[in-house]
Amino acid sequence: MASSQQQVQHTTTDKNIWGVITASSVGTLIEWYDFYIFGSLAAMGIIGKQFFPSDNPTAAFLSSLATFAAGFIVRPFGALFFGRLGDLIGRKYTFLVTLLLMGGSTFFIGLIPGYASWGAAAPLIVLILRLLQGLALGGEYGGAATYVAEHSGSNKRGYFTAYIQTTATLGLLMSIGVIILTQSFLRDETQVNPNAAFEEWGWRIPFLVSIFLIIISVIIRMKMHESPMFKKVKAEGKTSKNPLKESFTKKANLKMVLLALFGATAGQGVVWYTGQYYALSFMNKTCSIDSAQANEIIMIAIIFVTPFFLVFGALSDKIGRKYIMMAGLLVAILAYRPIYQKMYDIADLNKKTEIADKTQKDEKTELTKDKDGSITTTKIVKTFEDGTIATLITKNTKFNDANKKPKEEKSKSVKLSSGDKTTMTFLIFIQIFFVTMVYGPIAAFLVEIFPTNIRYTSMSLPYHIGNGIFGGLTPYIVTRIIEASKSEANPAGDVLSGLWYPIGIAALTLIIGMIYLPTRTDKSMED
Amino acid sequence: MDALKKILGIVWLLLSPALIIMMLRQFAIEIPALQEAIAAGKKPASELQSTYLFWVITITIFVPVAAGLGLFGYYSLKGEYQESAMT
Repeated sequence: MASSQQQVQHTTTDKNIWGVITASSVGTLIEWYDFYIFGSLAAMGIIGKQFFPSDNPTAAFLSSLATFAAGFIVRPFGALFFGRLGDLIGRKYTFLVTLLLMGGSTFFIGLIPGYASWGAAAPLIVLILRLLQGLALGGEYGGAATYVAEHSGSNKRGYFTAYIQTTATLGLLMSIGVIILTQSFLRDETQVNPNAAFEEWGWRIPFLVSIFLIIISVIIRMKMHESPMFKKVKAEGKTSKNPLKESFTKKANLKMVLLALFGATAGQGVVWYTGQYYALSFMNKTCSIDSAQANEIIMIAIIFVTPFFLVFGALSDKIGRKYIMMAGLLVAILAYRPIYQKMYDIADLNKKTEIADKTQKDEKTELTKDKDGSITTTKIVKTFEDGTIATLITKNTKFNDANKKPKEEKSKSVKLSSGDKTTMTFLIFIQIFFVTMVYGPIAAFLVEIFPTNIRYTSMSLPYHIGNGIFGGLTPYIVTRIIEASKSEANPAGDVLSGLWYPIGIAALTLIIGMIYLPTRTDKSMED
Repeated sequence: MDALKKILGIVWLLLSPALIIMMLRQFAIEIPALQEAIAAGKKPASELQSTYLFWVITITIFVPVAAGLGLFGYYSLKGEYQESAMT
């Protein structure tokens, strides 16, 4: 029988590594897709409209962000629960369970009727399903990263685990892609709101599609084998009897969990979610950019920037993980405010010259759904010299009953000129480039600082607190800070004020990371 | 660097309760101010619910995290992150 050392050596040179990466990445990608559909639709305001009362759109938007955030908040609990299972029974079966849990929850979100039909029960059920999604994701990522890392040789671990790192961004890309496809398929230009069908029921399709993706992924994962390092530890009888206790009550491990959180994942989390999620929310809600165009901008930027995850993962094998991650944090801290100022300016109609002759006005009056009044919809389309087109829609609802207050809803949609669209895409590209720097090497970094018998549990917790709590709450906290900056004198508030949250967290992580993180982690991963 | 880590340990230890106090203080200021604005008809009543929700989430989640920062500071002060203790 070959020695344990030889067994690991054998697997690290095994050509089958690409099979391992593919099987792990496909499942993780699909889980991210499932998780982000909700976020993408929340950022577009659709979840808010469907599942929350419509009398205050801002409150509905914030409530939908809170539900979105709930999925992130439970991720650390998923990390603990499934991490423990993964360290006890193995990596393979644990992340097979997480995949099924995620797929089921996503599918059912697509089936839940809206607030208008089910009242408060609808958001409550959605919240529960969202919590299950968060738990599943909490268990998935650590397993996949650990599984790939434990199959990789030490000289290419950063590069190989970087494939897992691309899955979160590609999952976001896939969710936006499916939303765009569904939107364009259901778009009806003859309607005042061409996206009405999508907003009414079409948004369910991306959730329902998930079930097919999950089936494919489960079939692929069933063929996978257990990680060689875990097999070795198990064969030697060295698996942990209580991974939670060992991870968080032993000072030697707990201090590394805290270091990983405050010195790496907290800052990495806010950079990830600012560059991708908040950027999308900022384009949609603050800049009022047409949602299809905003999605397209994010998609193009992601397509061009994704290879850099692999570049920085591979580079970290050569020069170490620490300085690449810290450089990413530094540039993000310095660049966020100028980037967001530029994004705001690009879409600011006050800075553009309108071509008055081209302005079109259309007015239509129809009965309300309940036939208890009338809705007058006024649509004004303005064209600007640089090619920007702005659509302003005002809906005035008057009721037959004089005691019922009339309602007025206003919406604005800005379609950028091709030049501005390119600039906006570049600004998003830069932000996601920062993400590739901080996120590309982090899986390898995390797996290398913990021993095999508690690796799944120990690396998952700081990862999911950093990404789920510090990062995932970014759009929610940033939006809340902007709301708090609104006053009678400044009703729009300071649209850049919320950026102090990611800047502050990234700065704290940069300081701690630079001073405390070891330059070289244990690349052997041998216990 | 080891001396700097010890000094910074005190900073993290102090920052931890400071962050907790700051969150609780902001909550205590914001809610009554909002209730006043709602009573005066300046803001819609639904804003109270979303503000409460925000602060309940923030305090529940970030208080343990801030406590973790304090523990990190304590370990740092005790020399747990010194070069010799990390290898």
